Amino acid sequence: MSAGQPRWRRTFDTAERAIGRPLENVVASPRYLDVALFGRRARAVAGSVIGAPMTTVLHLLSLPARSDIRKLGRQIAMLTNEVRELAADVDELRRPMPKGPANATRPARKPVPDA
Amino acid sequence: MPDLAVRDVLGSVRREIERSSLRARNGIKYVRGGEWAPIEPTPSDTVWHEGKVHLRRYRGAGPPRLGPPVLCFLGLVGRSYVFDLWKENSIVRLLMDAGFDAFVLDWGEPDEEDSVNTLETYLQGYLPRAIKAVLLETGARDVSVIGYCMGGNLALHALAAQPDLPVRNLITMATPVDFRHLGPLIDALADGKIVPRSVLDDTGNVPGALVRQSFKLRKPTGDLVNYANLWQNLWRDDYMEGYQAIGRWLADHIPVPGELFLQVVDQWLRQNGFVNDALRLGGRRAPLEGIRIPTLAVIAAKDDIVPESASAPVVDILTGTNAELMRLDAGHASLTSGRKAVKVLLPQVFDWLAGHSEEIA
Repeated sequence: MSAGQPRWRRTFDTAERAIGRPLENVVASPRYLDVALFGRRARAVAGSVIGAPMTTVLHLLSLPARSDIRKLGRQIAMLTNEVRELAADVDELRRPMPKGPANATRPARKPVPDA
Repeated sequence: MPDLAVRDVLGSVRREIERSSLRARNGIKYVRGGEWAPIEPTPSDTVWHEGKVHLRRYRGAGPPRLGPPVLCFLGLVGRSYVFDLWKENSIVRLLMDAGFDAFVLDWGEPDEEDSVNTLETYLQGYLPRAIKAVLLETGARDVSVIGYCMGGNLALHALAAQPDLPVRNLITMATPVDFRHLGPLIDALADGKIVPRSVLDDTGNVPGALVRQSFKLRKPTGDLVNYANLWQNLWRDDYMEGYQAIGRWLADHIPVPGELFLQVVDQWLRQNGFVNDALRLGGRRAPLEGIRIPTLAVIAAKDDIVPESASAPVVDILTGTNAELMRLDAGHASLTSGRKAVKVLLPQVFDWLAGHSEEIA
């Protein structure tokens, strides 16, 4: 791989492989994944420890918490998707999927504008 | 003889001085954020859109000679401009040069409101409607589909569930179907070591940064090697085009809709649904034997992201059609980018497509 390369590059490649290969083995090991996942889980637990009492306080004051607004946003998104599906069904009734001889009356693409 | 040696030395000194001056010029341009490869250089028109999903039709020099039109799409983790990376490396440009009408389906960048999107949203909703838009736009009866990486999975899953979709030919490129060979991270998701929901962020999606990190993790010294490559080739403008375009695309991952991610982990990873024929869509089985159209599976022999052991079984699982395997000497990204891809690899793929298409009268 390094044949014909300048000397600095050959040195770099040797050093990179010497460091890179063991590192690749480390990150590919189940142990690394365990450690990385532990960090993620710890952050999630810390988030819920802080977040849950905050939500309770807001609810006691009859105020929506961030999670409530998110839930509402998702419900709206689901409704939007349903409306989209209904609109598509109506469009299919008005303009069904074309069925005809292959590649019939194909309009040309718009040409590239002159440079 | 000594004259020759002196001339050689002088020649290499002169060459190094020239390169150093070019390096300095390009180095300054690079640091100042200069542009070598503008995104999506090929002119196109958005011919249909719905939500964040856009369908683009590309403008060629003349009318298409071959049909049906070709619809390209990627999976839901990367940007669709991979099909039009830079001027000398544009898949859509090559497709049009080969005589096809080229369309790209861009799934858009999901945000919080898209976290509820499922496989059904994309495969039973957006995709059929995008195909219909291509047909209405062109007057064609069907399309050929090119699915790159996860885009191939989406195409297979959609066609298995809806074999009556008007698709004449299917090309999957670097598409994994056996998910037991994709490395420890995928294994951890598949065997439940990682709880899929724990990967979702506050928006309900898998963050794009996490997708990027998971790719970077495979080669921890990758950035260093990239910088060494950059220094070595900084004097070459043609290299800088590719470096910038490919580097930008590889770093540009988008969030994955949360609900869809949970389905993918369950069906594609845990059940290894492509290999075990356990795919479902809209509450119904999606048997892969239902795919009966000509299919070409392009696999990259040096792919370290989707190794051959993960992609090659596609020809065995498509029992309803005589799927062909094209094994090319490339890596995951170099399958579609770089001089070899443009001059050697992609033309072979498009030759197959031309052989399964017809002249337009």
